[in-house]
Amino acid sequence: MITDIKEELFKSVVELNMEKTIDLCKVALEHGIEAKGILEVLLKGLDEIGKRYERSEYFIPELIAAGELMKEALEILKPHLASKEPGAKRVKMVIGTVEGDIHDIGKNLVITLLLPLGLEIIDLGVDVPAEKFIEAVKIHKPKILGLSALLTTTMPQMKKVIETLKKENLRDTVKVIVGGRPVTPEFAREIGADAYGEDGFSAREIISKWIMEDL
Amino acid sequence: MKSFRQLNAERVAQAEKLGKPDCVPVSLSMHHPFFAEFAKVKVVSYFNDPKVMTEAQLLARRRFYELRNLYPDYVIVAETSALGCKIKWQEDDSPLIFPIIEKPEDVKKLEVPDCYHSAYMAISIATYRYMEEKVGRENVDFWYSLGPFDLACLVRGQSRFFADVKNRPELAREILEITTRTIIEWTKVREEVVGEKFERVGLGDDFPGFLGPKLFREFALPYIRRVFETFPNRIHYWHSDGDVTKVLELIPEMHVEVFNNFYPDADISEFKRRIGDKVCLVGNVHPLKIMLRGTPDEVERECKRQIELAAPNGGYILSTGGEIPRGTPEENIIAMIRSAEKYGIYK
Repeated sequence: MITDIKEELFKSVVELNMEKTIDLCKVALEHGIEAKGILEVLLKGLDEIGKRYERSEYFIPELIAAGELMKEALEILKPHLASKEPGAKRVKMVIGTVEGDIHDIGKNLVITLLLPLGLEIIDLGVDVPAEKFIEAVKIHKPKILGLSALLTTTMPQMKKVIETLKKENLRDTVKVIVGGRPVTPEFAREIGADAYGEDGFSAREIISKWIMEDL
Repeated sequence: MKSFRQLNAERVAQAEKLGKPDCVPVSLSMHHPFFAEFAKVKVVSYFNDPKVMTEAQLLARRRFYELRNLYPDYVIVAETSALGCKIKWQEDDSPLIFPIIEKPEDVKKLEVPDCYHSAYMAISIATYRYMEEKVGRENVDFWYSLGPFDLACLVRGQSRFFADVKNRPELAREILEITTRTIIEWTKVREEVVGEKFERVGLGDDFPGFLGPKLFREFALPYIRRVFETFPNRIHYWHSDGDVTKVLELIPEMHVEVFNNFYPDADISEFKRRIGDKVCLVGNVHPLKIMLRGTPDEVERECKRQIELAAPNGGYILSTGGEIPRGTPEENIIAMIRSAEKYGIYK
């Protein structure tokens, strides 16, 4: 019975059936399946969605829909996740699209793909001035700062954020990863970022490595 | 004796119909980032004073062999402001457009606007009339607008709309219905304002490239096609600089006759092979790697390569993939224009 529920749940995640996924999360909890176990199934489903994207069976809308679905499902599980479960000593990450830019697809995809890593992600949204990034770093003390830009005209804002981190003596407290269509590895090096994420998958790989190396 | 501008216009007219003119024509995709920088005016002034916009475009037109007609450069701002989106003006950068449908129930706020009198649609019309008086009707275009899919993304927010397509398809369709009717009405108004010189209908949709074939068929194709079907006797231009490689064969199904200034990293030879017998291709010199950052020699080499790949059998216009970026060196644009006649003679 428990195996059936888990299999159905996996299937509903992969098929991006939001309503069925939420119902099955509730059913699973009612049947005594631990929240941690349900989360593992959700994350396996997300991994499969990622593989389908890499095989060009799924595309951007499917990835974004997966993000929404995961967010809703996690809301059901949150009260049941004990304090020592993944999330207790979670690595914090602040992420946002820089000032003058309201593109959020790339940023939201990165957030979705980072879910399996168990990060605590603070999403500042779009059109975020450098000062707001700095304020967030001071308040939340993240280990990772993610900057997204989709326009060549807004890319310089990334440099401004990094320069301001230096001025405020915060540069050494946080690893900075940058990404977005016009951003290049050369640009990332030039502005002093710690890493360049070509897409959500490579960003996840880089951040995963950082977490394993204990940042 | 005909001017280069007249010759080029005739060549464009032949290429649009998949013909083979005497020489490959060239098209300059220039918009507000380029014009404002070129004329050394702030973007916010360019958008909010028809005189500044006109003079900036005239300066570029005179410099580049008069190839670029003037046009009311309010695409995106016109359509979104008329539907109620808030515009945040930046002093020297593109305006930011904020969505109005934040929650699904907000869709009740959305209705087809009065396209003569609403917001920047009204300003577009006034600017067209100012330009027409200044330079003559034959030197002003007014046929290009945002497409229905991109307009839906902007009124809802890009991420939210993509989530709607999968998680709330009825909502996505409801929004697309209104944006499609809006673009049709806006095109009818411009057709009336311009009169018999209204020869083309152009739509810009950058976001459908993110959809796979199945979702493109369901959420992009029918709506874009409907706009073109409403104006059957015009030449249909579609612009998308997203990666539409996976849905190329669907482009002619939308009654697109000219596919212009597309994904900068596209392999134009593949596009030519797959749809070049049905659709005129306009492109595809890389706007950043070549036009902005290259030397004139590099521009010329790349133009030669694009011509060799896409010009055979006609139906081709040399241009950039996407628009000419702000700050592109003048000599690079001149190199592109000259390359058309240097390497594009049809034997």
